[in-house]
Amino acid sequence: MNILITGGTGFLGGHLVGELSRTFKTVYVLSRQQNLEKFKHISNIEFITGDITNLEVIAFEGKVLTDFLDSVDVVLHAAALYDLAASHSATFLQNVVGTQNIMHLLNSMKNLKSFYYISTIAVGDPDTFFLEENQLPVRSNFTDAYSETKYLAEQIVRENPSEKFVTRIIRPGIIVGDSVTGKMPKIDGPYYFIKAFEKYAKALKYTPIVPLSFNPRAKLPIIPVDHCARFIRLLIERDDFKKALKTYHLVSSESPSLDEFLGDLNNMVGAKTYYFAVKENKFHNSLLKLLGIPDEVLPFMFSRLSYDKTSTLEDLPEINESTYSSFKHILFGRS
Amino acid sequence: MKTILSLAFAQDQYNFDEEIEFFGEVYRVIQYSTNFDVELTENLIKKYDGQCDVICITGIPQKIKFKKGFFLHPDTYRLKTAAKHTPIVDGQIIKDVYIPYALRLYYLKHPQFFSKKKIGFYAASLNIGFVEPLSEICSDLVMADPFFIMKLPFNLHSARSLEKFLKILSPILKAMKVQKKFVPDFDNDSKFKSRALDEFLGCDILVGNEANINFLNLSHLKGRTLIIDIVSPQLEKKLQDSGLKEALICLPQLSVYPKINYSILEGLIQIKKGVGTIVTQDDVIKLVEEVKLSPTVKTFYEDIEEVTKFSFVIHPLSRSFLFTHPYAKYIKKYSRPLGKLTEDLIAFSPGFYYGKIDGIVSEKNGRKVEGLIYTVTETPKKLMESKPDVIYRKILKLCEKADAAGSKIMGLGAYTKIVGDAGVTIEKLSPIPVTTGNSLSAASTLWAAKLAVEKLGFVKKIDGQFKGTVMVVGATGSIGAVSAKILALSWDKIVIAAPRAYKLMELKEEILKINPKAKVEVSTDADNYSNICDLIITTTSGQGKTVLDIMKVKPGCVICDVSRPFDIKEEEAIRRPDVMIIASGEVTLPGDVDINIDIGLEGNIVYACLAETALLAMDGKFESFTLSRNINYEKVIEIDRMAREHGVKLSQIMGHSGFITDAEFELCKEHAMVKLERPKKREKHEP
Repeated sequence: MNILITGGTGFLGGHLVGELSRTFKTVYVLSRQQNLEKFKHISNIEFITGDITNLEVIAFEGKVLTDFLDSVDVVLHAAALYDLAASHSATFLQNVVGTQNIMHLLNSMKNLKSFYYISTIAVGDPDTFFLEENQLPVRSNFTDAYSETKYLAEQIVRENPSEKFVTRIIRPGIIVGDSVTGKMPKIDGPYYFIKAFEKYAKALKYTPIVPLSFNPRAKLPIIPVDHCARFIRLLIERDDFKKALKTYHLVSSESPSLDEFLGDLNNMVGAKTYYFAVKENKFHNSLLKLLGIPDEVLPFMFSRLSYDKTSTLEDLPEINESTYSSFKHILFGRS
Repeated sequence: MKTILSLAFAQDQYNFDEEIEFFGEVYRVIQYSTNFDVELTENLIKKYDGQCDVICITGIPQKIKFKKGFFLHPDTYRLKTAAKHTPIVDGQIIKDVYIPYALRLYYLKHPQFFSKKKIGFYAASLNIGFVEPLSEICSDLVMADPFFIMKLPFNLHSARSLEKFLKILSPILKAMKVQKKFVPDFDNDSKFKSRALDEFLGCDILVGNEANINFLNLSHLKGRTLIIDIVSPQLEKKLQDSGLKEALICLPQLSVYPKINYSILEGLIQIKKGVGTIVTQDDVIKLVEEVKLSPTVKTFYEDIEEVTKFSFVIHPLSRSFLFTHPYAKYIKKYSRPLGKLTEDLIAFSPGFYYGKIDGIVSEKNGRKVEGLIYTVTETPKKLMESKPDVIYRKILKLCEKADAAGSKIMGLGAYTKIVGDAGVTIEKLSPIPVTTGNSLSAASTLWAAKLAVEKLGFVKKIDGQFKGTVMVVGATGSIGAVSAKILALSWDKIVIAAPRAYKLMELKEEILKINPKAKVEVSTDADNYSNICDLIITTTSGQGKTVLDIMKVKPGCVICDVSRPFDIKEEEAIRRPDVMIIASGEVTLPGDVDINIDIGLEGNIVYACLAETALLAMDGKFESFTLSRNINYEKVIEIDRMAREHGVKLSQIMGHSGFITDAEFELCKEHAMVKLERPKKREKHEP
């Protein structure tokens, strides 16, 4: 069995390559560069030159191309642009156009058995209460380019199921650092809070009450990157290729509510501040911005969403082993 | 494989990547909807410049041509010049050529769709292709451009004022970005909405293009009619939800590829022509001919439970009818001296609503139908005396009333259909289709003739074929010709008689085309064959001249006198009690029919021409079915089929003076038997 991974050079992709190289004969990594230092220790890896934003994704031609395409059994599309500084059109090009081009490439693979698409939990509408696994909510209001383009991309994947292979959509939660080493290459999601709290730790110690615009019951759907990669490997291994389309929510169990999370942050800096929750308003939102919390985190602060995990639990009971309490030390232990 | 990149500028969440076969070649069509993001559209064009064969952009503001110069939005220019290698098309050329053609084509087939309608454009400047043909068809145009583009509270009413408006505002328009937030709200329900919006929403037909309508809120479209260039599957769902009544779609979804749009189509032409060429109007004309493009009307919302309404115009049958009103009971005894005066005076009054026919239910599709009966005030004598224009105007007023009351078709009853050109002028000016009902009248008369022949029972009938001879006198007239053609199908032998022999020969050939087995005799004098005929139909315009010597007719013969005034006078008819003379057949409508007025017939029996109007309503066939004095063979066959399907039945046979009862048939039969036996007796006695 051979697997083709896109986005293997990314944060989650790097972990995925490491995980999957254990079970697959060859791991093809689609990337613009060749021979990355990062994967030197893996022997069964092969780099495929290509760019998902091109109409013809893979740069090969003729028989080399067809031979390669025929040898692929599983495709894992993990490439996405997640960069707050990037423009809307660049994000669109990578996420939507890239996915549609990959979808077109799949049609020419004769022996393809399954297509794994890494979506995101951010496709859920934060104004609703429940994100179901097996459907994409109807949504038209987006606050940031990332969730909008990922939504459009999942729409493309979901609306064009193939008869030749099965499609699996995986929606990981907010990905945090490695649960063992705590490594996190960039600041993201909850790390913004950690950074802000570290910065204002002294002030917080002397402030008994802070009004903050947030929903205390909002759940933070986080998952450590190594857990996420392992679960995806398990899902690929266990696939029976029967049902045409399945969706999984990869979110750690016992994911903390914002109230709990802020309590943990208090513990981290040794403060005893009470956070007074006020409704979402422009003034407090700009206050959050001053603290260094970007716009794209805001939906998670007011979200009332809970996440359906029915089919995830069916195929992946291990998801319960990944609990917040088991890895929270890596979030707060980091300095 | 050739690749087409389609960028839908004004759409959202509609991306696909498919391979289709078109004109025998496979194309890869990739679409991205960029949701008003000029930068993204430009980046996509630059990214795929050189990678694909053609780039098609939809939804960008198009070039607006004036008599002097043109207006082009800078964003459009920026996008159209973004690529260096790949040609960019936006469907403008196809729209320029095809839309006026499509509208014209539809207008020629269905003038009713546009007649007397007020037409509202969301943004005429963005739909220039619609303006020209529609301003030729309709005079009442409302262009909401000022509101649509800049939320200004006034409307434009002609192509000239539109041009002026654009010229004055072009510097501002050029500086404005094409953005979604400038889109006005047509759904405003508040009391204080602008008068311009009020006027626009008062239009009967709204005109827009897909790109504009796609991003509007559509709840104001409920129950309305829309003219639109094309409807994507995505928009179709929206329109369905909005409760739109019907839409005239200029470019219907092609069965080969439902996601087609104007610019993809132009892109296909561009690819076919090759790189380095420009698509011209001639290429489009060729394509239109090749693919046979034509507009269609799609009905989105049809309430089947709703009662369909039709209208019918009648008139007082004689002077005495003018005194039937209950209030007139005191002067009724003076009706004779007052009659003339009343007749003259009441003719000044306009027509009015008289009553209704309720409870008609089709046997075929269960559709409920209701008839509104209107009346003009002229007696037959007045109708024939007065100028046709006066009567037309009166009837047209009634047509407008009927339209306002929700009826879909108008029938002309009795003498109102012989005024002037028999309905043609009225049909042209009326907001709803008009029919004279002559097709069913002809059909029902033939039913009556057949029934009368069967009741007398002198003609043998084998396998539905009458073993006898039928004669049509005045066969070259329109009713005569149709009757002859129909009768030739069910009678063994047919004689056609008329004064002009050459016309008869033509008719004979036509009959033989329909039924090659028919035995057709031709005669210029009806009396030559009258002694062998079992059924005689007379439809002459003899105006009272004797066309048939009744004394020579075979005993037991049925004479069906369709002419008005009658060919066979009553005093002649009395001389031959052994011959059955019938005038027409009247019918009953299906369902539990309740007529709340006196239309001159007993019980639930109605005129055949009224029944035709009701039938058309039951069948949902709202068109001017029969017009002018001529009737058509195909139409009679069609209405005959419709009548049988929906359950309109012959109920009574009319003679010269009222219905003919079964007793009268028996009496006639006895007389005929006696006459037929007498010659035999004579023969026996003679030797």
